[in-house]
Amino acid sequence: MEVDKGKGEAEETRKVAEADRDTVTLKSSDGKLFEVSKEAAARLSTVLAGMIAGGSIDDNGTDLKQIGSEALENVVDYCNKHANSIPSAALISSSISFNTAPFKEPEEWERKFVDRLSHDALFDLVEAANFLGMERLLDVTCHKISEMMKGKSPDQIREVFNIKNDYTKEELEEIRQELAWAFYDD
Amino acid sequence: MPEGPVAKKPASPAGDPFAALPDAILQHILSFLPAQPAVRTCVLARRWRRLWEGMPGLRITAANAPEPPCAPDDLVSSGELRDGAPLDSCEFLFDVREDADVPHVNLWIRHVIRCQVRRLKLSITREDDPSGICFHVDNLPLVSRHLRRLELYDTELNDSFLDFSGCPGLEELVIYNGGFERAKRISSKSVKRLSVLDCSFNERRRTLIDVPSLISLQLEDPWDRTPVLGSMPLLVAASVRLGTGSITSLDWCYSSDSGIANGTSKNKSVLLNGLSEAKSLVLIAESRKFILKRDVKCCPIFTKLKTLLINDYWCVPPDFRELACLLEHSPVLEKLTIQIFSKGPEHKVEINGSYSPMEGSAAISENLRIIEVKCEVVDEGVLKVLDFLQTLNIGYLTMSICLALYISAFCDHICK
Repeated sequence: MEVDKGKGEAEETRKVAEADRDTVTLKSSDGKLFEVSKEAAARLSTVLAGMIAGGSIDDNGTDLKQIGSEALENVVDYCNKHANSIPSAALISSSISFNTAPFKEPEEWERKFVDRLSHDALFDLVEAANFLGMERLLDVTCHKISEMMKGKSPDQIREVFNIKNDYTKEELEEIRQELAWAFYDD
Repeated sequence: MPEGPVAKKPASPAGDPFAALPDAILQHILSFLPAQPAVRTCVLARRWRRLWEGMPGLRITAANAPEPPCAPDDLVSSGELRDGAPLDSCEFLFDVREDADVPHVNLWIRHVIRCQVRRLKLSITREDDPSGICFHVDNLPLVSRHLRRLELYDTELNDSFLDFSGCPGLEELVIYNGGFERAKRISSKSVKRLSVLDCSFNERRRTLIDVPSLISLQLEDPWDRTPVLGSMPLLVAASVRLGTGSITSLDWCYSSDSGIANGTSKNKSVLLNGLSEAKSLVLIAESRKFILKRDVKCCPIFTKLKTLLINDYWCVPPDFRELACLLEHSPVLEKLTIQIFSKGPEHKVEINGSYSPMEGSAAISENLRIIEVKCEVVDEGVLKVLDFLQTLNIGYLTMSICLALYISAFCDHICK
């Protein structure tokens, strides 16, 4: 929380006020403003943490031109929900915790959070999480997509996600032979 | 003129939502899938052809297949699987039905090690085995510069495998329900965090945990002979729980300690010496376990110990010798928590006291500022502990708090 010296007093007061605020304002590509807890934003997003530490947060709304308002709303919603769920998380990891802990299954609230999203919203959120360096949100959203693929044949996956098959029949046959073990029980 | 429903995202009119995502994200998604379905995505479209080869994580499970995921032979022989692309993580989560498959699965593990895996988890069961045998890892050391974290579940271990000198980057080791019957020691110069949970050890000799770089240790419910801890000069935090919930144990008081087979003399410390450098300790034991009580007879000095959590195991009237000994050997202790007849984490009664240094006895740490006693009811046992603390002149409760405590305890008795 550095304060620029040598500027007008009013400016300085404003800066101080800004530094003291415990929220940051984010602006979506379509110009909508969202407020999010500074602490949660810094903890969950490496990019926002960098911007907050580097003082490049704009009081009138930090421009996030790559993120639409729907995705940004979900990001902010996730940050707020995450902030509220800290006590339970702290309880779980009461014993000795490991730094490079592997992926932990989504918690109940995280499941609900991604379950209510439409396809488009889910994928937009993956992009936003990737852009903002939000590791946990990226894990939870990618995990959700993997769940949607689980137990489905390639044909069914193509249908669900609208993936266009650009292989020729011969190519497909070749791959299936090459990787026969993966298609064992087909 | 709009044709059809208005596309929400004009950027990807085709509607393939993956189109907007980079390959790395697709691979991240694939790494949540079991190996077989992940590999099968190669037929979705040209873009997916080689994605699986570079995915950071491999989950080999039987979730989607009735049989073991695929004959391990096939995966190994299916060529230089993941040629060159280092693996971030790999999990083996399946059941091996046939004895004949065990060597194949072990080959597979070796193969994954060759793929420079950084985090490896083995959770391989033998559920159909009538004798309930765990999965046996082969009798060879792992060699990898890349392995950083290893998790072993339900695995039968041996000395060669547990010699991690070939894995100089291994920092975290988690062993859950492991079989150490044939293992004389775990040794690693690099491991910093170790959890040994619910593992069964040899009936006659003590396994040595020789992990000198350890920073944090979690040892819970070892069966049969409690393992011996080697020197751990860098240790910061350790949690040792003995006997709470384990079904059998030879280290109960009624069994004489005949673990001299490997030269462990009766007076040699099993656990406490190894823990002597810790800053924070949890020492919980079931009352019949004698190991810690015997250890405390030749108690080391806990020169760095700041916080200590113990249970009623340490509070044995009339002389509270063990508790006194622990406190006298903890010269810089700042916080003491005693859980009495209560396993936690929820305690019905919490008594917080603050220590007033003026009243302290010379033998007790001058830094001891906080003492918590957690119990379900303030019964006679608790009062005895408090009495003891008083007679030892720790004076941890200022008079007023003490009085309040006695009153509440008294009321409790009346209510009954």
